[in-house]
Amino acid sequence: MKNPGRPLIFLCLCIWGIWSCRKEFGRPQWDIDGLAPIVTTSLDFDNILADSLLQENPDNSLTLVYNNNLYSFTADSLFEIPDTSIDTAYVWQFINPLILNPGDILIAGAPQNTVYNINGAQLRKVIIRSGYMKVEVKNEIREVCKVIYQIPLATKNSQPFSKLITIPAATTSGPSFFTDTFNLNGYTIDLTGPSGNGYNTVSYSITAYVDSAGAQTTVNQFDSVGITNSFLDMVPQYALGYFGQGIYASADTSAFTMFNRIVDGTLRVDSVNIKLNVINEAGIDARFNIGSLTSINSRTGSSVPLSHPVIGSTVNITRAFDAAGTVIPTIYSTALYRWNSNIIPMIENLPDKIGYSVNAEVNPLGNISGSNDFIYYGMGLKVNLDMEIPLSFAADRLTLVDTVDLDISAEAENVNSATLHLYANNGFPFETSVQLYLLDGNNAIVDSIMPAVNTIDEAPVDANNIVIQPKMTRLVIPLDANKLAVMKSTRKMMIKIKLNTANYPQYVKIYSSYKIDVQLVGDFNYHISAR
Amino acid sequence: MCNWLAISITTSAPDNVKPFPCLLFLLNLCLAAPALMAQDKDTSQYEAPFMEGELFADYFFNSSALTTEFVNTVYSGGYITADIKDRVTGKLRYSNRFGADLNYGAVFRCKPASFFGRNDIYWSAGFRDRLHLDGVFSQDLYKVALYGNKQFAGQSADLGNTRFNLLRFQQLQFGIVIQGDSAHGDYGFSFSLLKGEQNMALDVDRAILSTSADGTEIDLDLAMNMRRSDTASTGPRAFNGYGASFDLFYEIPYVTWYNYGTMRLDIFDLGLIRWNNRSMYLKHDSLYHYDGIEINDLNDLQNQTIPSGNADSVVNANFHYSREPYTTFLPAVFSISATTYYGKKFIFEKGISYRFNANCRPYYYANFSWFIRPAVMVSAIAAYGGYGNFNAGAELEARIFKNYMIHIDSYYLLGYLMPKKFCGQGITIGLSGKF
Repeated sequence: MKNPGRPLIFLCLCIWGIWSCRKEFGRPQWDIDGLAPIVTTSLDFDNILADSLLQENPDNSLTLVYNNNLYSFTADSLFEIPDTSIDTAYVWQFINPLILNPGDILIAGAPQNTVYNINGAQLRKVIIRSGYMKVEVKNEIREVCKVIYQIPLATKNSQPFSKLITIPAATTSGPSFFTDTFNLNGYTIDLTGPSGNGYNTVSYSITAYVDSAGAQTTVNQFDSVGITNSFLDMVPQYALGYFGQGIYASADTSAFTMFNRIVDGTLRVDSVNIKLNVINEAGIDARFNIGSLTSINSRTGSSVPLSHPVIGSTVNITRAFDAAGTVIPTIYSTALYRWNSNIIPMIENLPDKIGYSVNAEVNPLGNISGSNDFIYYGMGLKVNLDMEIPLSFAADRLTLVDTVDLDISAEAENVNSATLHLYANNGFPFETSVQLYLLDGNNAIVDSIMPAVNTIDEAPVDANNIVIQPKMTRLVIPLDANKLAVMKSTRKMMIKIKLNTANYPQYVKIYSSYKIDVQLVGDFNYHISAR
Repeated sequence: MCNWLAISITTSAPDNVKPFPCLLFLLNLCLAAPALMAQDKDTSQYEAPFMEGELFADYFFNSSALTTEFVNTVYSGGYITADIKDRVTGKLRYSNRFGADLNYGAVFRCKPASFFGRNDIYWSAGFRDRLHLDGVFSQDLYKVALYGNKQFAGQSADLGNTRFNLLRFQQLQFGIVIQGDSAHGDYGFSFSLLKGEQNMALDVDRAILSTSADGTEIDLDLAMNMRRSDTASTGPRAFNGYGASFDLFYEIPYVTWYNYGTMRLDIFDLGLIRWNNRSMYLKHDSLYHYDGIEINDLNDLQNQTIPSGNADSVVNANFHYSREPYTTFLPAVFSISATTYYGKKFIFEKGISYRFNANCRPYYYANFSWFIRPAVMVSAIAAYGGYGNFNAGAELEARIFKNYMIHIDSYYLLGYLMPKKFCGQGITIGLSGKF
């Protein structure tokens, strides 16, 4: 038999070589022309605005509900518990050298009282929402010491505040130091002191002794143990006492966001119903005076001050009632409407801010509650505007602008070019022009998406300005390769919408049945890269 | 010397119904029979004891519509231009087919001086790694996939009657050939143990894609089912199923106009594979309607411009899915051929074969061989059917180093020479040595 090795080995090497050099399956690519719906939606006014802002009336018309807080006067305006320290609360200093045995008492736990100055307020009780007690100890004894820190009148779940602190022993190189903080959240602190008649008083006791598990040690002359404690960042959840008298004047502006997306045009509203509410949620008597209330449009620079009898008048408002933790506020309310004020021009001014000046006097009659003023965290004296604006309006070139994040780099990655078809079946009695602007990193416009013809026609209305039937509009939006490239690199887009109601300046009502059906269809050339 | 060549000619069966790589050794031995019967053949080599080893590898891809240019572009990851797509489109019919095989392996065969007291028996053993895929697809499926659905605006595209089969397994084969006489012919059979590695069988019975004229609606009426072997276990070491198969042949000599010839009947891959209980079964029959991603509140758009859907959840919600074992029948081949010997220089073979369960049509072929030298044979091949249409090929077989034979063929030369017009490609290469 002949040696078969060489040819077979040669063939094997050939096969192995070919196999090793074989090309892996690549990703074939090709382009297709697709036609497909992309997005569909049916929007009524509930979908356009947040649900909570709209309410439906018996005739199915809609009313816009909006609440705006103008002014707040809360607990921190009345008083503030300052960060305090009790320096060298205790210092035990040895006059002569001494031998200490394990368990020897250094400091006896006699009660001590500290009275705080809290901005003139006389507090009898506080419940701590947040805050800390910081303890710092210096130990010159060469043995471990124990400290028991107690606040007997500070309780949580019926247990008084008590902490056992272990202080390391001093060394030959120097004393030892100990620092720690203890959370006081949820503690109820009785500030009347041991007598029960005081105020702003914290009672505590400190006991210090040599660790009973330690060893006998000798202290030198002038060795000492010093303890310092502090109360930090104290925020009360509840306070009881007498909060003192005071007059608090405030002149400021409050953001008014209802129209903050409107940048141009005219809006006429048929009617508004606004309540100016002064709410007292604190257990203090107060006297209010609203000096002015002004609608400010920063964009146009126009201001419309409110003209109404409440302006300049003094309002007395009695204290709220504490029903076992549930606060029943006292409310003073006055209505602003077309016939008793200039509230319509104020609203049609499209304000983005409301300016105000307010004087609030606390406890004008002194301590008539027997030191039973109370206040809960987050509550106090407030001035609110509760607005109800029926959606019966007329708009002329009312222009709204919003900026949204845009990132279509993934979705449009393989789109070579496209033509979008927007089908809008509009059931609202106003026409809408839409433009989408692409913004660069400095929010400067770099391109626009919509073509020149970009108006969605309004639905036809009858003599009462009620929509007869929806109207279909088709917009064609060509997106060539260049525009797509800009879109893919853009991360922000500005949406600009211009509204014109039918038969302006007649008012048109918006009913809950009105809606607009929108469908976006893509006619696109798509690059496929098979995986 | 002619005996070697005669053996090789017969083993060059059409690739579309490719039985050879799996049975190359068997056929070699079987088709030694006509040589033995022919009066002008030297039969001494196969009458004497021998041992022989062979390495081989082959592949083919053929289609009734997918041109070689198209397939090569897909394989190489190139860009499929409109021209490439259009040339395929010109070949499309309502239903179109494709198929491919990739095999390689080794075989050892032996004729002992005595096999259980007989001296007319060959035996063999071999190993093969085999990959087969086939499928049919509609004209509209190709158009939607390659051109998009826009051309079907206002119409329906029939994507149904689409099937795809993928089968990969390893084969350990044992066979014997019993050499007959001029009256009874030769016959043989082999038995194979199969290790199932991977299988996927997709059957889309109905798929009607309707696009409205304005593109606002797309409907898909879909009925399909799919079986698939365990997808968590992949690669050559995956043992996802087991099975067995048989191969049979019978060959009888004849004489026409004083020329000797043989008639031959073959059955290959008659067997099955049982896939394990981690295999998947998906079934679906439903009507989809799509009119865009629904947005119910403009506030949804505050943080993203286009909400993304979860395709997986759609699939899970509408598909019947289970894990269960199932059985796959191998794409068995039935083949009849006739070979006529014209002296010592020419051989003419013609045959027909059919592959079952493989989306394949009958395959007709004719092979004319010429011994340009006693140790070198070339052949010209014409074929029609199978997974493709008409094609032509060539074959070269030569003895090297006295005891070695090398064999190279391709039945798809037209696909290589004119890839834009013709479909198909494939090469078989083999080296055997006698020792």
